[in-house]
Amino acid sequence: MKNNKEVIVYSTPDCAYCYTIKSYLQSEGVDYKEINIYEDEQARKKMEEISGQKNVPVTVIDGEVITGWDKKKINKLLNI
Amino acid sequence: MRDLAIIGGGAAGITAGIYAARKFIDTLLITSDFTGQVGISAWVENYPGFKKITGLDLIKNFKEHLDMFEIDKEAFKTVEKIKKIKGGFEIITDEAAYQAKSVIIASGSLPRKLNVKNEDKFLGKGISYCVTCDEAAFKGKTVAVIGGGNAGLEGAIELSGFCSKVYVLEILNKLGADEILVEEAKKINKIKIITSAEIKAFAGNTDLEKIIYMDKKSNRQKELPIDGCFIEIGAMPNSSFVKGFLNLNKKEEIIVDPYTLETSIKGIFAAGDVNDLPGKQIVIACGQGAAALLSAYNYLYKN
Repeated sequence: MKNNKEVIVYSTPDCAYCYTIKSYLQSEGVDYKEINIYEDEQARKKMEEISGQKNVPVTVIDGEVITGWDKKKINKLLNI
Repeated sequence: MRDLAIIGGGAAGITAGIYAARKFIDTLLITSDFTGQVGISAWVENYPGFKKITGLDLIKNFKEHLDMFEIDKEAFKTVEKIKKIKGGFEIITDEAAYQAKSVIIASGSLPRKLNVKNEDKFLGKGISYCVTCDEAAFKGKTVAVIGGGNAGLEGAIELSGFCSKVYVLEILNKLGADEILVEEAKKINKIKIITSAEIKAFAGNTDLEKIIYMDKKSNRQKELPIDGCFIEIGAMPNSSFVKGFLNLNKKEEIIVDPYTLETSIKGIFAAGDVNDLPGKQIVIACGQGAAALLSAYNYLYKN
């Protein structure tokens, strides 16, 4: 594990942008937890609550919320 | 300096990469992602060998195929500029610069926006550009798909599986999708097709509540109450990084020689959705990726 920050990726199985974020985190050796919201209504509501919107992916890094695939923001929060 | 740089990790770029690797060309593939437009397609039913497959699964198969070969990749890097240098070209990305004697640009396209009132305001609050990503938020709800092309109808058919009602709004008086998709959509009671509908604005309080459109048949403005809206009106070429460097057409597609796929600068080729050739299809992008590689190979041999 490259850093000790908690990284959560809210995703759906056929989401290309989610796949890109997960591939990126893997390539950088960042450990993350993935939450699939496709079938999990409660997780989806939680994601909507913390991000204020419905679209995936949503990445949460130590409580900071990033919507969409945003390499610059991810890099900044993970010090990559 | 490398012999070849391929820019793009979609259908055209990956195919060019496979061909380059098999010809032992010293190649670097630079890409911002390995999904392209294929990855955001709901279903693909016209790529030979795969009767029905999600776009993301198809592009994952392409990537696995590429990974069988030894080819250097710089992933998650966005190309910002290409310039001519002695003996070749320099490709400048958001992180580093790379040099190559020849270049294949296969940077594909980006989803097109409607550019109407409140489109950005409701992004994520009812508006999405990716059916397969965000469909789960609209189970049992009423949704609209803007665009009656293949992507729009594939999306509408997918959404009809669990939405209570799916409207398809098309600006022209006829759908542009393949006839087989039009037939299939028309058989589904939940899908209602509205043609000659020009989107004017989106409206709602916090979340999207309605679409305002001009019915071009009656010349009257109408409102359509919906919970969600997917915009599938095609794509724009991802060519901004060569603007002013290569010749582009009015749509900002890179102009290529249809025989060699060479651009206005010798040694630079363009394949797939980013060039000005007709037919923005996965199978065509793959074919052009292979053709561009063979042209680049020929160019390297002669130079």
